[in-house]
Amino acid sequence: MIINIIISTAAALVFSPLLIGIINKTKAFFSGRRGSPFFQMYFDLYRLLKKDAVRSGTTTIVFILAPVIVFCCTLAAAVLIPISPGTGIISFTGDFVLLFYLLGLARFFLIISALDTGSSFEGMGASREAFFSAMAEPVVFISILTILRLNGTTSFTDALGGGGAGNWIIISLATVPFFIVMLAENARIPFDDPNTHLELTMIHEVMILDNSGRGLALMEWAASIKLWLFSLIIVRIILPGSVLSFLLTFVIAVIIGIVESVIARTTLLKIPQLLFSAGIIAFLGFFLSFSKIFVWS
Amino acid sequence: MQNNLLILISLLIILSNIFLLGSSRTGAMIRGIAFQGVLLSLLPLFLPSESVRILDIIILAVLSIAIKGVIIPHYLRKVTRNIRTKKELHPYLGYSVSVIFGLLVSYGSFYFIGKLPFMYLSISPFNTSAAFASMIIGMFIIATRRNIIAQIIGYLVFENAGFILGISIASSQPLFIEIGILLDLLAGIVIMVVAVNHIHLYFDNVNTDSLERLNK
Repeated sequence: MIINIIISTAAALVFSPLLIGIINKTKAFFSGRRGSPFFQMYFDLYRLLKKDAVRSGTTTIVFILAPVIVFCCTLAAAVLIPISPGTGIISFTGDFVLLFYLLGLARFFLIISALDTGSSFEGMGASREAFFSAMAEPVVFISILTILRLNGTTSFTDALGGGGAGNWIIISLATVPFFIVMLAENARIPFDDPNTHLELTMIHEVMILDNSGRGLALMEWAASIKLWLFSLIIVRIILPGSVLSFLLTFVIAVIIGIVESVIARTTLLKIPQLLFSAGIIAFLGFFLSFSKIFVWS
Repeated sequence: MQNNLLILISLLIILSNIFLLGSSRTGAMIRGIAFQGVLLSLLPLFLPSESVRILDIIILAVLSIAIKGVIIPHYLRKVTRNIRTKKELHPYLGYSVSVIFGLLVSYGSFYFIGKLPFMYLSISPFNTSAAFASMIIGMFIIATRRNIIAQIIGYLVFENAGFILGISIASSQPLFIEIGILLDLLAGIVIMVVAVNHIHLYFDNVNTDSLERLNK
């Protein structure tokens, strides 16, 4: 139990910045650049953690606490996911609600810390984050319910931490929407561009504009842990039985890099449509998992 | 294995139906219907080989890919370019509602087909349920869209459903009937395309609303 917690925490803390590095390297490869090193984010985090934070005069204690809470909630959610079969820390009926509500708590504090800065620009980002995540959440839950039904269990960590591969079509109908939601939740390209700081349409980056030093480091680290969490869930859904399947998260990072290189980000107005289509695919998978005539051999 | 491929094809047909329900651009709809046509044409290859002749199957598949995947989309694209309609602006029912409707119909037909008694005839019940859903979705597209190209595509979806049903019970009917239907379909589409051109000539748009007053 204790060992499992330590392993999960260490994996989340250590591997998550590498995912960002892999994504950036893939994007650099596609645009013909050399790109920043794989471990760039570790250097960035180290540099930021050494620095002191500068705060605006309008901010309150909410702004100071938010990075810590966001980081802790995200890390706690990530630790819940078993990185190999049988290493789940807790499992009970409906544990996925805990998992995603921890992320929801993190998001709530991210949003109110953005509002706390008093900048209308950040308020705009906060409003978008709230709107899009409200649309993404049902898709996540439907996909997860499908996975639970396939595995015949009511505990998500059980479903991820063991059991064999099942019905590939339904698994892909649950995984594809989950992947789309992962892009939305982690502010990746069809939804948000992590590299811009000048556009009026940015979502995640605008909310952490006022953070600096240690606060910024925690926010960035939390964002990368969230990416690790989502890609780990996808990997565990696809290959629940394998011990080293967490290494496939790096493959997921490469896929994200490819997606970011080959498609442009959609306009802000089209994001609900994209999430809606993801939801439709998820619902189809959910319905199919109930169908008697859907026989997969 | 064969059964799995059949299920995959049926699922892709359902997804393409939902795509057709949700897309507003005629170009995208034509691509969707071409994709669906090619998928359908693969279905005869899965028939049990003792019941039909292999030559019939190959002729049917090739003809069907040619007509549904190439010729009809080509004609539709041509007429679309001719009448310069790109996007349907005001369907009678919104796209999101249509997509939800398509989803519910698909699920309903999974449920419904499982209860029908004649299932032993067909090659796969899932296939038949996809056909059943396509039939309703085709009629739905015809009923809810104003744009005449979208209506033609709705008709094609409906016809595709008939094709799947025909293939599903092919062991009890000769495949030549299907080939005859394909040629009829081609003739029908050509006539429709000519009609669309004429409607465009007289009314300057291709919304079927304008047909309400014929004595212009």
